[in-house]
This record gives sequence, C-alpha cells and structure tokens, in this order.
Amino acid sequence: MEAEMPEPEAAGQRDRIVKAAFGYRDALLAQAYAPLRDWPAAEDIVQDAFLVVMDKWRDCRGEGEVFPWVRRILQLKVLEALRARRGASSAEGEDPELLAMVDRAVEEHLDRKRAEEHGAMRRALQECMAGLDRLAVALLAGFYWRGRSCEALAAAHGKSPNAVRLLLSRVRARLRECVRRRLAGSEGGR
Amino acid sequence: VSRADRFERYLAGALAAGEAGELKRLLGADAAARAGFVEALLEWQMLADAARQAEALPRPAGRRPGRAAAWAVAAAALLLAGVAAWGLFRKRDRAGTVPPPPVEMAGRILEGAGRYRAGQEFPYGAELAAAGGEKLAAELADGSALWLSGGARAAVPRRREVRLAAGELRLRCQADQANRFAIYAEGTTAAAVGTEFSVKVEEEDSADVLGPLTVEPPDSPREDRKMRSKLVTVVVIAGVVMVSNRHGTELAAAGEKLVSRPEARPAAAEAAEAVNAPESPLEKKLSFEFREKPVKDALDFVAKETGVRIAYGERVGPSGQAPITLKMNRATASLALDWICKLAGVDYYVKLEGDILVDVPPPPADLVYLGGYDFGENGVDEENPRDPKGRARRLKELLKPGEYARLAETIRAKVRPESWGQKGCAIQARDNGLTVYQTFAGHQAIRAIFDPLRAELTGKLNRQITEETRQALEPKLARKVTVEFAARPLVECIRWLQERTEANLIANPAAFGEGRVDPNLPITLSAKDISLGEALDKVLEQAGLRREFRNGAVFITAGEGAGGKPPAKPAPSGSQVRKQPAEVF
Repeated sequence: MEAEMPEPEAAGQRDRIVKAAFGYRDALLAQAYAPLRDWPAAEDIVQDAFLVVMDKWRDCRGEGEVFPWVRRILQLKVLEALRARRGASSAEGEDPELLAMVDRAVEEHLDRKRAEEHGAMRRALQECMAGLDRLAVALLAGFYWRGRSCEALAAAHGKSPNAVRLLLSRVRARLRECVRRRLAGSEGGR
Repeated sequence: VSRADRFERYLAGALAAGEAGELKRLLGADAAARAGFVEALLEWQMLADAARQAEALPRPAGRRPGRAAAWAVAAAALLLAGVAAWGLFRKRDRAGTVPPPPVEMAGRILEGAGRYRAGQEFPYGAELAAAGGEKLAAELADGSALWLSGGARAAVPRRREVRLAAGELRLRCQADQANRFAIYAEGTTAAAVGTEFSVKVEEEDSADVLGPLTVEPPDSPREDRKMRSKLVTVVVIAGVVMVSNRHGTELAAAGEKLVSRPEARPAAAEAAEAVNAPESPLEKKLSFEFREKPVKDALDFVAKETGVRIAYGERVGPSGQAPITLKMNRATASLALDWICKLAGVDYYVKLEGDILVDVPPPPADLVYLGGYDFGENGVDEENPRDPKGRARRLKELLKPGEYARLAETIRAKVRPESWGQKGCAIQARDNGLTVYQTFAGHQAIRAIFDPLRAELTGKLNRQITEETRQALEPKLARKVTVEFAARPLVECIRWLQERTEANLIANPAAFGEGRVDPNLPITLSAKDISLGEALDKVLEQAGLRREFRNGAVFITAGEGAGGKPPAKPAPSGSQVRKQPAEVF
C-alpha cells in the first residue's frame, strides 16, 4: 500500500520537477478550461496530469522543460476528456475546428514566461480580492466560477441584469488596476 | 459585437448559434486576436479561482437589512414553522404516527468498539467515534475504506464526503472520475478522485508545522502563528490530493505532507487596499424633465450624469431622434433608462465593459407576424373634426377598383416569392387593405414597395386640396386696403391683416422658433388700394417668410432656400414702399 520511495537524489529531482509543475497550476487550469468550459472537469484533468507527472517524472528532460512537458500531458488528457464527453452525450458536440483554433491560440501565446507571469498575477489578484465586499465576491464567483448568467445573478441578488453587468465591469476594472499597482510595487521593491 | 464580447461568450459557454463561424474566422486570421483570446482566458481563470477562494473569507456585509426587512424575515420564518408544525400535526393525526423516513446506509463497520460494532451498518449523518486507544475501520457505500485512530470523531453526511471533527483519519478512496471524494476538517478540504491519504486535526503546539508544502497566508509573520489553535495535516500515501482552505489551494503528491492553517488571517490581505465594489452608477438618483426631447439628447443626459458611456447600435436609425416627454424625480438612472428606451421603442444592454449599447431589438429572423397595409383611407372621415376635408373618403375615391388585389400579386411576385404558403407566410387582399403574414425582412421589403405608392397617392390628394384652398381663399385676399406700417412689429402687421380678411392665417412655429425670425421685426410698408394678399406678401418678404395655401388656411412659413433663416432684407422697391430710418419711431 505504501508508495515506492525513490533514491534520495532521485527523490530530490522528482520533488523539484513536481513542484515546478505545480507552480504552473493556474496556467494549466486555464488551458484545460479553454476547450472544456467546465471548471470541475478542468480541475480533475489537471489533477490527472499531475498524477502522470508523479509517475513519469523521469521522462522530463530537466526543470526548464517542465512546462512544455506537462502541457503536452494536459493536452492529451483534454483530448481524452473531449472524446469521453462526445461519447457520453447524444447532443451535437463542440465544433472541432473551433477547438483547434482555440488550441492554436493557447499554444502560440501561453508560453512558460507567460505562465509564470500569470502565477504572479494570480497571487496579486488574491490579495486585491481580499478587500472586496461580499456582494462583489459573490457576483464574481457566481459569474466566473459557477458560470451563472447575469440574469440569474440579478434574480438571486435582487438587482437588474444591467446593474449586475455594470457592477462586474467596475469590480473587474478596479481589480485590474489593483493587480497592476501591486505588481509594479513588487518589481520596484526588488 | 466586439471581439472581447465574443471571447467572453465563448468562455462562458454562451456562444450563440452561428457565432462559432465568426469566432473561427477571427482566431484563424489574426494573431493579435489569438493573443487577445489567451489574455481573456487567463483573466477568466484568475477571477474564477480567486473569487471561489475569496468567497470563504469572512467579509463585511454590504448593506444591513432594514428593520422592516428583518421583521419580515422573522415573520415569514414563524409562519413557515407554523405551517410545518400544522402539517406534521395533521399527518400524525391521520396516521397515528409519523412514518419513519427511509434510511440509506452510508457504510458498514469492519472493526470497532463502543457505539458501532464490527458488522454493523451505519446511516448517513451518523457520527463515528473511536475511543482512546481503540481504532475504527469502516467500508463506505462507494467501496472506499476509512480508518479512524483513537480519539477521532468523524461523520459521513453523504456519499463520498466525510467531515472530520477531531483526531486523525485515513482514507483509501475508490476511484471515481466523475465524483471527487472530499474530507472536510476545520475549514480545510482535501479532495481526491482516487488515492490514499490521511487527514489529522490537531493543536498547533503538537504539530510539525513546516511540511514540504504549506497552505497558509502569504507573508504571515511567524509570531502570528502562536495565535492559531487548529491545524489540519494531510499526508498523501498514494496519488495526488488537492487541499484547499480559504487562503488557497495546493496539491500534495505521494510521500508529501501538507499543513493547512485555515484560521490564520492573511496579513497581506488585511493590509491590502480596500477594493470595495462601488455602487453601480445606474443606481444614481436623477431628476429631470424632458419635453419633446430627442431620445439621444435624453440618453446623453443620463450618460453625463452617471459617467457611463452610451453607444448606439446600427438599428437605432431615426428612433434616435424620436421626441420623448418624460419627467422623473429622484429616479434611479436604470429606471430612467428603462423608461426613455421604452418610450422610444429601443432596448438597452449593459456590456461587461461598462458601456451601454442602445439599439432596436431585432426580431427573430424566422418569426412570422401580421402586418396590415392601406393607403390611409380607413381613417377618420369628414364627420370627424380631425378630418374636416374628408381625406379618408377622398383617398378612397382616388384608389382604382381592385388596387389591393393587384398590389398583392406584385408583392407575391417580388417579395420572398418562395416563402408564400410556407411556414405561415400569407397575403390577403381585402376591399380596404392588405393583410400580410411575413417575416421582419419580408415586411421591410413590402414597405419598400408600398410606401412610394402611398406617398404618390397622398401627394396627389394634397395637390388637389391645395388647389381647392387657393380657389376658396384667393377672393378673400383680393379685398383692397390702405396700409401704413411705420416700423411696426411683424406680429402686429400680420394680426392687422388677419383682422381684415376672413381667411385663417396660421404661422408655422418652425419658422419662428429658435430665433429664426423675430416676431417683433420692424416692418415698414405704405400703400394705398393694395390687395390684402399683396400686402401680406410684402410684409412677409421683409421677414424672409412666404405664404402658401394648405388645409384650408394661409400658412406662413420660412422662405425658400434659407433653411428657415430669414434672408437679407430686400430693399423695398416701387412707389408704394419706402424705408424709414429707425429713429422715426
């Protein structure tokens, strides 16, 4: 039942690769979400990809290659999930050509550097979000995490759909500005 | 639809039918669009994940409910409780006893002591406890195995969920890709699809705080940790476990330990500036009164007062100039927008970027609806004071017999010929008009045929009426008078002439409005035995105005080619006219 423990030096190498892979979690989640548009499914797939990283870490050619390697694993997992989804549903699935375009966009513009920047932005955003009031957070979580429409959120919070859209827009603009200032501050402090 | 809107709709899974093609074209043709899409995707991910975690943080409530609202809630709760109690009483009364609810078993005890013995089944919601020095092992309904160490307490509230209150548990969970297994302990969630791990709740002093990975607030000072009471430790034996608390999420792999300190307050987050959501600008209170104001002017007012940008869609067209009359006092901007747009027959939509798009809502392309067409002959007739000239009757007279039947044939041949008889599209010619069932596009095409014909017919009638008016009024304006106006105000001159003729003189407000012509413009005219019509012409000429016969009256309107503004005063000529210096009067 206990997992086989690798050699001490190998264990060190494994830890570094696994940690490096975990560091790209946010970017990988975004990559998985792009074709699936389902956060729980995207999280499961990223977790599956990390399981593969744990098992096959020796296949990674070095710490610098972790991101392209884990991303390739994730792409295969996403393809499996899409195939399973098509098989499970009789409804017409996603347009494969559109998904290919989305994949191309991610392939071209989400490289390791951008993924690392994204991780830093994500941490800054978490800090900025700590100052939001309950309504703003509930709207953001409802819209972005649970995928609820503005109309549904408006009904739940006793506001008009347009007021919800406007509120989301303003909160998002303020968060962007807060993240920008926070990142500029941390760069200046170095 | 902007590029950002399209990306958002895709990411929200709300892409409308037919939009996929446009998005493909966009992503396929333009590298900048692909870069923009990835930026939108990353922002979407950040906001989703950060908002989910932020939801768990305690926050100040937005607005406190009013006293009345609180009383209403309390009263509703009491009422519900009363109804429930009455229902229970009635049920008990009828059956004698309350039927026991069906019990679903959560699992079976494999090894244990105390309340639950080996081989005994336990229901969902039951609390499992292992006395000190004892162990408890259970097989759960989904096939997972659960061990509690001595002193541990846990509950299984529902399938693939365990809540650990104290002590340590170990779980080997059955793989199920569709349903994650979750352990909840002291504000921490350990989730796995299929893996083996232990979770332990303990006091901080007894814990080895620093594991390979820790989920704790960033930048939290070391001494701050002394204030904490509970820690949750997750040790992964096989596979990967995702551990979350209100500060974040981490993954731990086999052989790793992860310590969660959910009660710690994020120092950095507390110090973070308050990014409180501002009040929506559409909730700002506005007071205004619009009288016959163009819609766009009214909307511009709202935009200026709220700071919201308003854009107009392509379909707005002339609706944007439609005059509206509306008065509101301390109404929210959103209510004002609702009413302005309702009165103008347009719709407004607040985009996520904060702009407001005002547009005429497009009807569904395949919706067939009824439209009626006539030349205006079915309106009021001469017995109605609003139509003293009997326009309706006269239009009817101008129409040739069988005109509508011919028109129906033309429309059938020219407008969506393949649609007639299909999907409810139909046209019927009546004696007094056409009844047409067509789509929006079809009705537009019919109007393109119908409107010029109607304009031609009404133009013909207008010319007839003008000629009749001229013949009726010319004799009244032929009466000879002697005129002596010495720098007399224009309005008085017109009134003087009106008093001497039986004809109605009507001033067009557009000719005098907005400073085009000054009603007090000094008019100078001296003439003997001049006809009233000629005198009127000479007065109007000095003001840059002219007269015409219309609808049984003499209509005073702006001079031609001046766009309503008076031309330069022509120098009076002839013996009957002489110009006097202003200082004479």
